[in-house]
Amino acid sequence: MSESGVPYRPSDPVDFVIVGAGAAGGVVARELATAGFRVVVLEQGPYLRAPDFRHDELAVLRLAELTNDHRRQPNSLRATDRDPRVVTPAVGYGRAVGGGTVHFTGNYWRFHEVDFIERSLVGPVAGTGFDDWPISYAELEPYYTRVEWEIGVSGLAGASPFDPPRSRPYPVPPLPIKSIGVLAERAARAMGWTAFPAPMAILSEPYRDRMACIQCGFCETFGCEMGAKSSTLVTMIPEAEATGRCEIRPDSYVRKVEVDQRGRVTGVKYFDAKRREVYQRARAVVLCANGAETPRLLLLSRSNRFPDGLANSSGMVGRHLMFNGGGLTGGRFEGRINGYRGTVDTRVIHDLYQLDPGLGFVGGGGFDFRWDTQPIGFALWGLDPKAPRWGPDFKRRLRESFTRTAYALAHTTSLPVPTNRVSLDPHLKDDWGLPAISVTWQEHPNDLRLSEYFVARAMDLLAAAGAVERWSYPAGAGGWWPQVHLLGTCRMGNDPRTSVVDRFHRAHDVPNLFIVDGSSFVTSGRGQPTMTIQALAFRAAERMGELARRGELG
Amino acid sequence: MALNKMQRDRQQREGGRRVALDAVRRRVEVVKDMTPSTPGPGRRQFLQGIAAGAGAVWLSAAPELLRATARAASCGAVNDPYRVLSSPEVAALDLLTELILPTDDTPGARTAQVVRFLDHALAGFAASDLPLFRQGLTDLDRLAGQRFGQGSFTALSPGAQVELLQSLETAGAPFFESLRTATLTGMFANPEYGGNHGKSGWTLIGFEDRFAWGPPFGDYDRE
Repeated sequence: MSESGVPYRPSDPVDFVIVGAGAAGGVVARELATAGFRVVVLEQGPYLRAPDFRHDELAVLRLAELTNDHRRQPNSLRATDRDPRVVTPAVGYGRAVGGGTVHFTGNYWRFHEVDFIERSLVGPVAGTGFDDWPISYAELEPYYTRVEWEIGVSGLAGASPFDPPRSRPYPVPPLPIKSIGVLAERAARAMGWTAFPAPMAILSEPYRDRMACIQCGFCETFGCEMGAKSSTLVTMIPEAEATGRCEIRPDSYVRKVEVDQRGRVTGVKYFDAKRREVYQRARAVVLCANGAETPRLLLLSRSNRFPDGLANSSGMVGRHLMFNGGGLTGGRFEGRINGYRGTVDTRVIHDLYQLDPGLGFVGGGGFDFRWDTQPIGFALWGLDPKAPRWGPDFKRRLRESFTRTAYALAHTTSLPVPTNRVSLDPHLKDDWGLPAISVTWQEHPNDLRLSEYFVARAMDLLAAAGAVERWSYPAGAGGWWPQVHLLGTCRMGNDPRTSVVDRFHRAHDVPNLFIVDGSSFVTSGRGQPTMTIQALAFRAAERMGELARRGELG
Repeated sequence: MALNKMQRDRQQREGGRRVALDAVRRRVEVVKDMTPSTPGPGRRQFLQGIAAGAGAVWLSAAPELLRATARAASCGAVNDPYRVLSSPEVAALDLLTELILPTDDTPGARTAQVVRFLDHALAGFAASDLPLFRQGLTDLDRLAGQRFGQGSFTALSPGAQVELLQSLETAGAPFFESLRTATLTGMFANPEYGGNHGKSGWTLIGFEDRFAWGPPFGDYDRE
């Protein structure tokens, strides 16, 4: 019996099989099931519930409970094709029903207009596949609004002078400001900037039968025991199951998308919890497995007809991997901030979202003031990296700093570089015997300079906020492994020679295969990609339903 | 309709954005003169190091092993015999963890019973690190003989103990990194794992395990 009580037989072709029950998969499942289609969702991780989410830092510090476990699913990493591959955690993603939305922080920035047309605005950048999106912000705007109202996003419309246009306010007001947000406001004022209430996928008020946040402080890396965090686990997925047409199958690890003689997909093969192979047939397949696992699955699905991997006639599957750059800075203050109480951040600064290209680099970014660590994590790596790491002075610093530290985090553009990519490791295998994810990645000089600029500005912000001591960590995406924003690897475009999916997320090469997750992105935005992933998912699901009703999916 | 409004709003904002860009341009000169920040271990880099090498087992234990360790630790009494550590090992680890987090007028590793935590962990979820710990303690005794002519680490003067531990840190010894990670973990993990006795680790840093807060969160809320 399935979790939802709708057991479909694998030999019975359902309308859609969706791979991945995360940010995108949850939305697509709910939209298609609500529209009357028969849906199976395959999720490699477990089906956890609110009582499974505990305030136990030791249990989730390495996230083995809620994310991919690198002991069973190793990665390799190298800078260029000439370098040897090193086995190390390279990508991190949610591995549970709800995916990354279970443990994420909940920062829900919309992309701005510029993110879709930046290539046209600033011109080409050497060594990149920098391009415009085939859709505009205006086309996506109604779906951003749907995300906010369907899952419940807290925020204040019009509070940011840089916010893109919106057709509707937020459904619930912003979360209460914390001391750390007051410091962000103080800093922004001194710089002539604006710190505005952070849009968060966490409820400030009860909404659609869910409770408001009680400010436990265990958001990032933890699951929410109150259901106040607007994960797909507590929003989209229960609604999909309530239709009686959607079956969520946890512990189901997909290894191949199958195709017939005509080059159409017929379903997927996966390992169940007991590692038995199952072949679930479907009229159409939707990949929502994230920007690393989706290209991997396409590459694993090579066949006589698709020798370079499924949907890969362009050779773009896995390429243009982007992460978001930026950097972390920390500051100690005289008064108690108590960042550990309540949500991670409450104020965001977008004054540098769109920098003048005259500065010498492309892109931009945003800042938040945050506290995203807990006692063990703080003791291990929360202090200035140059400070003593043990002994009386170390202990004094821990004692004086835990309640008095704030971090200013910069989130910035990453450019799409074709050689930065996800591929199959030729030697390394996972626990199921499948080729492991191999990441080849070297930071583009533009992105590193941009990140350094933002780290310097974050240090300015901490000074302006009155920090008595400041420090920074290395700038750029290269300082952050494993990477968790996994973008661009099956990019969207109008030209089948240079992109993997069309403007509605249909694979150019395969008419009944859809791909919607971070892999669809053409540019990285400035950070916080989940909101855009979900807006794309609402839009894509609408199209899938239209095509299915017109009988175009076979 | 909505989109027309969007375009109008956008035009109104352009003026403000240009002003902001001018401010940015002025700042560039400052940036050009800035020395790049000193490279150090980033937080996630540090995590990666842990995941890949020394200390990994303390922070990435399988959930079922963690639960078993917590059950065993919760059943234990203060005077129970140690599960895997010998008396000399307990004595040496007591000194070592105290070097990392000394007990003075505020709680330290001894107050938090970090060695109890180590014993439960090394008998449970961190069992794979037991050989590293045993070898590390043996090496320390050997170094005590070579450098200071003493038979054991515990027989050294406090100054000599600090010197030896410093040399391990400088050398990047896996035992040192694992010991430090384990000590901090035992100090600040939930008490059910046998350390952080009486929440003394949390008391030290000012963490309260109330898990429900409201304004004012800190001293700056009312500013």
